[in-house]
Amino acid sequence: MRRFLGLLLLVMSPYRLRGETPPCGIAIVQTAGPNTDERFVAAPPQQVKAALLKALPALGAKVHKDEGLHIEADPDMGLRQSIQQKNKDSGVRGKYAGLGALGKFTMDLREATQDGIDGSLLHVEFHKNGFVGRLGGEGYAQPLSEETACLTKLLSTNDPASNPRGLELKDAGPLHPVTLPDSTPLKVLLRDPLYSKKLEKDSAGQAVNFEVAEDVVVDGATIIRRGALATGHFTNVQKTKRAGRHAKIDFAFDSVTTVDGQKVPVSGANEQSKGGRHSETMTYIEEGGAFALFVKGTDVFIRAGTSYDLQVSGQHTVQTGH
Amino acid sequence: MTFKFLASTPSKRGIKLALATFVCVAAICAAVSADAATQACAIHEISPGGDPVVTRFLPAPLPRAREVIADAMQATGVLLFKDTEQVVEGERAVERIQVLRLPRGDEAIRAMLTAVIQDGQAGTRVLVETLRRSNKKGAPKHVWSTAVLDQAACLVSLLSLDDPLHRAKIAAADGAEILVADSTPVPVRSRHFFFNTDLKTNKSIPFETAEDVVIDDSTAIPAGSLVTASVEQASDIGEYGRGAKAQLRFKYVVLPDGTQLPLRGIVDLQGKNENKATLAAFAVIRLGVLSITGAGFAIPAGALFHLEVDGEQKIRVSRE
Repeated sequence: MRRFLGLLLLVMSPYRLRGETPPCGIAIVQTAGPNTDERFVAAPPQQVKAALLKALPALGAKVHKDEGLHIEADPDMGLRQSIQQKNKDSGVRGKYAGLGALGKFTMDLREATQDGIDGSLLHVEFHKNGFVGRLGGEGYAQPLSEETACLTKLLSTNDPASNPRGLELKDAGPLHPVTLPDSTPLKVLLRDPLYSKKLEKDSAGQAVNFEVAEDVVVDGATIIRRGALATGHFTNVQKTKRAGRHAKIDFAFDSVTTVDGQKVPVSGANEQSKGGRHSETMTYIEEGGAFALFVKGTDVFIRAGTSYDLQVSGQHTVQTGH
Repeated sequence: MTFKFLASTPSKRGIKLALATFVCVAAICAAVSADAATQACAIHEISPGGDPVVTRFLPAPLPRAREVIADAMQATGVLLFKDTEQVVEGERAVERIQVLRLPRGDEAIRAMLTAVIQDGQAGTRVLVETLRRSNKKGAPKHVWSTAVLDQAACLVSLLSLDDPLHRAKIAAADGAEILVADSTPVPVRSRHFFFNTDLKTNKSIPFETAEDVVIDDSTAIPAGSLVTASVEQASDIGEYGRGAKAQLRFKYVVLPDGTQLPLRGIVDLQGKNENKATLAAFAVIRLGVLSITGAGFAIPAGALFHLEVDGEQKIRVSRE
């Protein structure tokens, strides 16, 4: 009977392949350095703040106080579980699978100038919860600062939703037609983190926004600008379920906007993310008996700035002045 | 880990002919053909030893040096945590070590890269350090610094230094027209290291031609030309001892003028399934047998595959 139950649970939670390119090449965010970090970021405070708010979930934290340029964040246990599960599935060893101690972040931003460049001074403090003692390695301040600096640099200042053609280029000449060949490669970035807990289960069909990571230049002419809107849509969203069944987020890519405003179809490997790589139901049952049936699976979390390699589908003629 | 190479001919469309099938027992399965031993350097042989901190000059620009260091580190079973402009670091992961059949250990490897000019030659100085994982004190069980640098130096010599994906086109409109016969052999090498978790269905995988393909004294396909393959039917390791699977379908080689010359070749990649007897034995003593998984597979950077041109093709080549 127990084996039949196990087989049934296995069938109910099939495995899906996971894969994405992490932002700025940092696949596993680990604790490092002291509990305080202060660094200059060459961008206005509001831009750095936007990046900071996108970076916090990557460290398993959520904002609990936002007072303009002073922000405080607490740990989000659900997010931490997702990150821990993902790290564990990737092969990160250790009891905490690469995660650091529980604690609070305090962040302050102010305008600053360094070497004649205007920007912001980002001050991050990480306060470990008292009871954890020496557990959980070192500080989280440096990884948060690094992730923030990464996203500030990586994501454009353009808002693709309001300006889908991307960042404006100077010295535009007269318009002339240029052929955008089939299979032209391009890279897009996820603008905001995706977290299955925040998505509705009937989200399938809804749009997912990306931005183009770098200009696409053909024969010296810019055809698609950095920051241009690329869109996809959710193909499947499933929330966590009992008996250890993990959440799922699947999405496909649809189109990218060229300099003349055309929506050109794109193709790429469809994203299929699952909260956990394996069904651990059997292990749970072994350890917890029937109580394991009431254990929920893990949510899916995809970091902002995650990049995807796409290709243009079909040949198109684009009017460009660049 | 099994690599199965399959190719189909236009006359027997839909029929796949197994050209070579073998189970790799070496540390790394690098090629699908018997002449894998003819490589310029030994990409198979990775073994620990030497000093924990080693510095070496690689005659490659920093972006390429970073790529080869990342590939070389992964060939020692490292899961990359960080792959930034100047630092590449990660820890050896059990899942990868098992697939690559390397000695187990708790090592972390870190590489720091700096662009330099040495003896008038531009390149990259790379410092590789082997540590214990999670910043633990003490000496690591094995030292991989020399192995990583040897592997990286090998890849620098074996593969193109520039990125074939972003190569400028060279017009050949006034060039000589030559006929490329159907089934002309085209040896190709993997440009990067791939573990099964990196492969998703529909993902494009870059390869490059391993040597010039010469026809009638003209170089029809220069060495280092971009070859594209796409992943089909990828599935990861699964419960009940199932190993990872994927199929690579080679599509085309990009000629210097941008022409895409169709290629023929399919590679079945299969991680080792868990032994049924082991599963049965586990089933007797505990229920958790269903949570036992099989193994993944890896394609090391520089792995050699033999493909064929698909159909008779006319191409233009530069007169130079």
